[in-house]
Amino acid sequence: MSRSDSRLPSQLRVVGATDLERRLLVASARELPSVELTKKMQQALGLSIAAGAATAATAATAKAATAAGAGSAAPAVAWPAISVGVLALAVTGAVVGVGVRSAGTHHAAVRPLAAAVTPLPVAPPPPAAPAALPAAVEVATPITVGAHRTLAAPSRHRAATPGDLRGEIALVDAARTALAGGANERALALLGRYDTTHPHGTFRPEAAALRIEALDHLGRAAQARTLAQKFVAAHPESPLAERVARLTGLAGR
Amino acid sequence: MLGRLRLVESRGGGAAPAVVRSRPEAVRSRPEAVRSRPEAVPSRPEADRARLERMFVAHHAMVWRTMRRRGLSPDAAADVTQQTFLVAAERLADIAADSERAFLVGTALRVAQSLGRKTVRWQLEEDMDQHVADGRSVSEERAAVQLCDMALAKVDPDLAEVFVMFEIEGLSSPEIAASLEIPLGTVASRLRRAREQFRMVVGRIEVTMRREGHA
Repeated sequence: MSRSDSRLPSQLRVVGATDLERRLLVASARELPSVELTKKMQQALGLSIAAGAATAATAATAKAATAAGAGSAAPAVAWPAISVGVLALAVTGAVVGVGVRSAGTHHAAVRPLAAAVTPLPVAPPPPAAPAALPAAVEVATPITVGAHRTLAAPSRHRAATPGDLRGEIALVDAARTALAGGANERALALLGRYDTTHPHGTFRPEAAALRIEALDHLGRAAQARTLAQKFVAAHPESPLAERVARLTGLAGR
Repeated sequence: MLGRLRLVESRGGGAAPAVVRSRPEAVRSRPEAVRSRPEAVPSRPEADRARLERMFVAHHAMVWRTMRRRGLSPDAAADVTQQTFLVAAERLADIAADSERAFLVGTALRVAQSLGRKTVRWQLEEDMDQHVADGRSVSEERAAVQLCDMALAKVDPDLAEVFVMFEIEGLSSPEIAASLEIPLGTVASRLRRAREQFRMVVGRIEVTMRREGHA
């Protein structure tokens, strides 16, 4: 394969991103300076660009980002709207409610973002008045997770403790780092340890994909391919399936 | 646990200076030129002016966003953007048509460095209740941007630069290599590592969301 090739892969938001990753990347690609800021920059540069020209161009860029992120790549799972509750969750890691936009279709979670594109730049958020943290918790509705996720199959889902997850993440993280640094044997050892210590772990699919990559790096192509075939069969919808299939040269999927 | 988030001010955004073709002294010698003297852009042939306008229309948002992803406020990002275009205005003749984006992004990174301004980056720390509270009124779109910036702040700055240029702004490998003056292979390896770090952070968020959802 072409790991040392300097050509870059497809953008993550086009191929291989989870829904959440895609949404974060697409939203970031659509952010625009406010009209006022744009005008201020133009004036400072002595440019007399026709009103709306600059913002129209950037809106076009934003639409391209939308197309890349929400176009053909159908999201596998409807995620809840990224709301304050999710931010709070991400920030504090605490038990907070998540404002869920009930998603009737697979695309429902993406469409609102696409619909949010307007020719007008998004104004930067005004500094909000301080408020107490608990007030930030919105509707306490459980997040519904679809039939399959990149990181874990629901059939394996169990209430992992934070300690479990920390341990899992540490191991997978270490294996990733080892792999990235070319320490493929070490990556395999870490992944072996992961399998032993977390037989029903949340990150098993990810660990399996990393193992396939490590084996491939080591030139153990046949082994990598066999595992990749199993992986694709077990997780046909996972973005990782495409990656391991491509990596090991499996035709199609 | 993810810990909590706190706004932490750090100088220069923590990234290694990107060496670009722009003369650094040209940037440093006139850091305040834009705001104090808008007329600092000298009169120039109409063709140059038209080109600069076209470049601004096409790329100012990209430059601004790249600075935002480094953790700069909207205003600070705009300051860097306008100074970047000021440099571009002075050096139009040196900028090949197919390297405008690389020049602009590389120059912006350089300007951000040379200003030595305090930039604000998100860092996961103990008490970030304030931010969460501030976030009450933000839209879903903005929340997604903030979440993305939080995740990026957990990625090594050198890697995050490449990640932002490629994954968010869609620059090509040669453009990134040119703007940072690094080999193509380094671009690829930095992108790979950046992805791993970014995805791990977002993965943690996903896991937390899912776990809490099932709790």
